Amino acid sequence: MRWLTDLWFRVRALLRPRAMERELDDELDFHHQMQTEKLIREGVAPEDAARESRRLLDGAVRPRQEVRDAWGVGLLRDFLVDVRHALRQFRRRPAFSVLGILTLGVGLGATIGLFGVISSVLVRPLPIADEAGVRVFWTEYNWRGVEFDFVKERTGAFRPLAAFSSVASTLRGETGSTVLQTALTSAEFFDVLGARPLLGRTFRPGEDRPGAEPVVVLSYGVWRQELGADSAVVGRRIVLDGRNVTVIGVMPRGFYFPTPSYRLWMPLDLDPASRNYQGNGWLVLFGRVRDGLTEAQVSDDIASIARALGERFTYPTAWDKTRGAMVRPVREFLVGEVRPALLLVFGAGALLLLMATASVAALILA
Amino acid sequence: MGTDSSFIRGTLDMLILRTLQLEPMHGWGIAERIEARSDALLKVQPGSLYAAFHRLTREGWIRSYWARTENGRRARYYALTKAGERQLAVETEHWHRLAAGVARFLASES
Repeated sequence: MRWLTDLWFRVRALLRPRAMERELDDELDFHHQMQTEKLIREGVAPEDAARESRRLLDGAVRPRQEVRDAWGVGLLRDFLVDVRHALRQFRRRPAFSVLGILTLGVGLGATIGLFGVISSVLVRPLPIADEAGVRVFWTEYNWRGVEFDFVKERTGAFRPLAAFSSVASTLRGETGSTVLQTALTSAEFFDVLGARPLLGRTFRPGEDRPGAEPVVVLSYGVWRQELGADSAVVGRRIVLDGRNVTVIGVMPRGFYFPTPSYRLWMPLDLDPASRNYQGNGWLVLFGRVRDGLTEAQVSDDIASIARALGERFTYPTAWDKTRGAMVRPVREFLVGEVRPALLLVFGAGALLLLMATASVAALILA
Repeated sequence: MGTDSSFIRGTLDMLILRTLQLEPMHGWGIAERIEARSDALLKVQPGSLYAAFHRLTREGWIRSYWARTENGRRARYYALTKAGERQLAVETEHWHRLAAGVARFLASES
């Protein structure tokens, strides 16, 4: 239990230095008295005895200094001593030490891992240029193509405005097929995000309209894993869902939107003649606020859009887009729902670390 | 080594532990005993003595408590711990080996 006495000593030296000094003073006083009496017994005159005793104690100053030195100043020396002690203990009781290290390791690992997730989701910048300017429209995954075009014409505050939705596509490769989550986007998608490709280009106006050639933009990961990081990939044809699609670009490493699980981007087919365009809403609308606009101007724009929507379309009460009109920051759209859950899990992780620490403490004390 | 305090640090520690092996004792008593039992060959400076107490306490080899002496004075007593007992055995062994080595060296012909 050496570490325990040592710890106790240090805690006392830290918290109650006065008490320790006083005890030392008392101790030295006792020594002085005993020494004086001894000298008197040996026949020395009392005054001389006291002086002699004091002299031996060096005025009681030097001892105190020496004692204080022994209390272990010098953080580095203490640290080295601790390291050596730890190694000695480890050699002496390896099984016990491994158990302790594992327990603490699990606790620390969980906390650090979760912190990593939290920092990347809540703190680290999104792969979007000037994130603050990008806003997502209310009623997500609920806009029809016809509404998107209507809003695009009406809005003065959001330029550009884009829409996207999500499908899974099957990429046929040499060895087999891979299912990849794909974002179907309007042509303005990458312009809203301010994202530039690593190779080739992104979508041009009109590529999201009927009659356009089927094209695809690859994520960095798909390019490396599925297409062997082919530097001549732009213009190459790949087979997606049984269709020949031309690769027009590769996004840089680290780019993702809306989430890292999206691996491909393909244009929407916004065909006014199709039932899809007129029918059920399935799009997310998002746009970049024009430079120099105030929040009040943005709100006014949204309110006027909502009014215009109400005049142009008739909505059932349950899906009334004229109500609750608002836009929210893109990060909130992406992480809004996971934020409380993440913080909760992180709290649980921290608690786990606390329990691990407590277990190890209990083990050591047992 | 001589009649002054120029002990090797570990040696003073060993003498203290050895003294406490008999019974718990206060600082002054320990110094007296070391002096008496070495026939006054060894004198301990109080400064080094009390520094050593703290060092040994931190190592966990001795512990201290306050108690009354026979004539009613409050004094801090030191007592040997289990770890201290082990340490004493180790140090005694070391010392004997060192002493034997030095003696042999001095006795050898140059």
